Amino acid sequence: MKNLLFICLSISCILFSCGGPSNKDQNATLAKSENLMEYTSYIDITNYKSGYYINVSCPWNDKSLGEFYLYPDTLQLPDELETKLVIRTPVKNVIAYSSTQWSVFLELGEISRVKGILESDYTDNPEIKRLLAEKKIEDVGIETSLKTEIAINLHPDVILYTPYSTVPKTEIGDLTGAVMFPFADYLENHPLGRAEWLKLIGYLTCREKDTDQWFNDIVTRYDSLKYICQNVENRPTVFSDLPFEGQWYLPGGASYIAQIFHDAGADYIWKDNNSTASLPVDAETVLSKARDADFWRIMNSTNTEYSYNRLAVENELYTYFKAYQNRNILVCDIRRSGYFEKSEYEPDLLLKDFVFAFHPELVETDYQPHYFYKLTNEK
Amino acid sequence: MKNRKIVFGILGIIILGSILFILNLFVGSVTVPLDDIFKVLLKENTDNTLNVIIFNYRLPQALTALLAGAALAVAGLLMQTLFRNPLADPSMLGISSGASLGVGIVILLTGAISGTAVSSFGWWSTIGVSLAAFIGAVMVLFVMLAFSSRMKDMTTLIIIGLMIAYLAGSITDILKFFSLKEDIHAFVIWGMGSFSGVGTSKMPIFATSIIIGLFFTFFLSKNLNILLLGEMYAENLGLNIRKNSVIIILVSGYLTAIVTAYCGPIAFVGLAMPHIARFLFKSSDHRLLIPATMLIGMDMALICNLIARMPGFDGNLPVNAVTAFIGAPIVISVILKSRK
Repeated sequence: MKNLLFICLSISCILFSCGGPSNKDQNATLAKSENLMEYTSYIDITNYKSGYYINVSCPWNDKSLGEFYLYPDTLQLPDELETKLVIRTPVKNVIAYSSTQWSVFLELGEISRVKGILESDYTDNPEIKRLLAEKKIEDVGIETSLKTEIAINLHPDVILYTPYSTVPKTEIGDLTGAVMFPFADYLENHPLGRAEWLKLIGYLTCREKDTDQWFNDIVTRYDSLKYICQNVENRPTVFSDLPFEGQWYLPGGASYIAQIFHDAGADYIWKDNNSTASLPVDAETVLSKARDADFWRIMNSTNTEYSYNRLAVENELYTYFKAYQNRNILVCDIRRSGYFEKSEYEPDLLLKDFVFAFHPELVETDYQPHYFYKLTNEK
Repeated sequence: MKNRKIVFGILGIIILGSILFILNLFVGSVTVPLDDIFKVLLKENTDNTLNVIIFNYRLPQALTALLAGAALAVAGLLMQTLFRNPLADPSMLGISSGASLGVGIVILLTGAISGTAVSSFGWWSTIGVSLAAFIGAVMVLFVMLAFSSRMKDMTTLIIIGLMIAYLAGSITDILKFFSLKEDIHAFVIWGMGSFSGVGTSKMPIFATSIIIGLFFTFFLSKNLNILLLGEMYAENLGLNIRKNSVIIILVSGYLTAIVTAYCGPIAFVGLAMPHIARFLFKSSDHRLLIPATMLIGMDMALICNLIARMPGFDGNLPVNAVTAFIGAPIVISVILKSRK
């Protein structure tokens, strides 16, 4: 009897969901409306009535990471959206997993909508530090260990999370009652695709006009610089990073930074590799392939500055690289420059830093690099 | 007759070791054509990069493997004889865990306190990591020595050692929990073990420290042989059990501490190599077992290092993965054969 009831219910559900007129309309609307995201690979945003329809796709397989509807909270929700994941805009209480999320709120002057952030230890941003101290923003723990009770207490309507497989999104969503939104910005491999995620924050806060303008300016600046570099005659070679315990973790040839090297008129030594992830490579392979590379890009995550002497003490193999010998090492001090917070939305400046190093004649002579500068310290 | 067999056996291991050492120099992810190898050796005019790869990268790595293999294997032998337990190895005394805790404190805690991500606390981090591992290992060593000088019962000592290992492990876990991602990543990679951390600059210190430790083990063979008879007999023969065990723990702990400091906690070599030595030479005489275990440890570490840097494979496999992967089947087959 129970089974029969279940079957009847299922059939009626299927019938209703397939044949409902609202659904047809919805699909028709979706097919017609244009994707508002131009450069991203993992997020599509289209107009839907007075709101937006968003699909976030999964980088690891073809499945969707989630479908969402944004709808102004001043308007009545269309019936067909009652059963969908809807975020009413502008959002009021947001928990942000990463600095690339809250930095856009901050820039837009909408930081009061962010009630909680994760990984607060990583930030040196004075404004965020002040808000944390004043308890206007709560520290909600770290990715691997969310302070769930604090998160519940913030009554978030949206939690922007980084879609690692380990994030128990269903559990967190159920406990907090928030819509869990996968913010897959860091998985985009095109610099402009990564930057374009800022538009999502615009849609969430009903500031889309401002974010569209912001993003279009970035594209104009990036593309014009890229255009200048397109036909350079001499393309210097470049490689990246430092090894740990004998192993280099190099950016793949199809990665974000490889794209920036290319756009800046340089040849990345591993450009033929088509991976987007980092490649574990033995030190001797790096030595044999990249020894004669013209430039070497290094990320410095410490609070102290690098120097040629310090690098030599760390590993004497470094001294055999041409880029070391010719003093052509490009360093980014991650903490001091705010690399993780800001660089994603300033790809044009990242590009310009590299162009300044690779082709100084193409940039104004008094240019001051923002992220990557040529290492000059000897000791 | 038996002596001849032993001489041949030892010679065989040495020859195998030499071949492995040469292979370690000439096989790696970068293919070096055979005639170029001779050019490099003869210092003829050749591509300088090959010189750097062979002399500045592969040679120190092979030497590190050689010394670390010998040290860990012999440290394992000492532990197994002292505790009369075939499963004893240096990690049993909590020494490896102590080293891990030391490294954990440097990598993880410094990050947590200062808010500075990543182990790379500047150039001294590489030196700091080795130093911390050594201090951690030696601290546990002293605790164990204090217990061992008071206690005659070896089983109790093993239990205390295991408990200290758990204790150190749990403190490390707590530190990990509160640490930044990059630091945990660095710590995990350190824990996988690597023979490439020594390099040319630190080789003199590493080699000297290991050779001093190995040298001392040769003086222990007589007392180790007496210990095999059982504590009662050993005491009757005039052996001071407590003093003796303190010395054995000190030497074995010292060797483990140095290797862990420079290469990370390398498992398995210390446990497995003594068994292979005993099986091959069918002997329990430490005058033979000590050099034999050292040589087998060297060969094993060289094999592992070779496999970790397989040709045609760009990356470096973690040493710990390789040691157990290669070692475990060998030990199982040795045990099965000896039980037949």
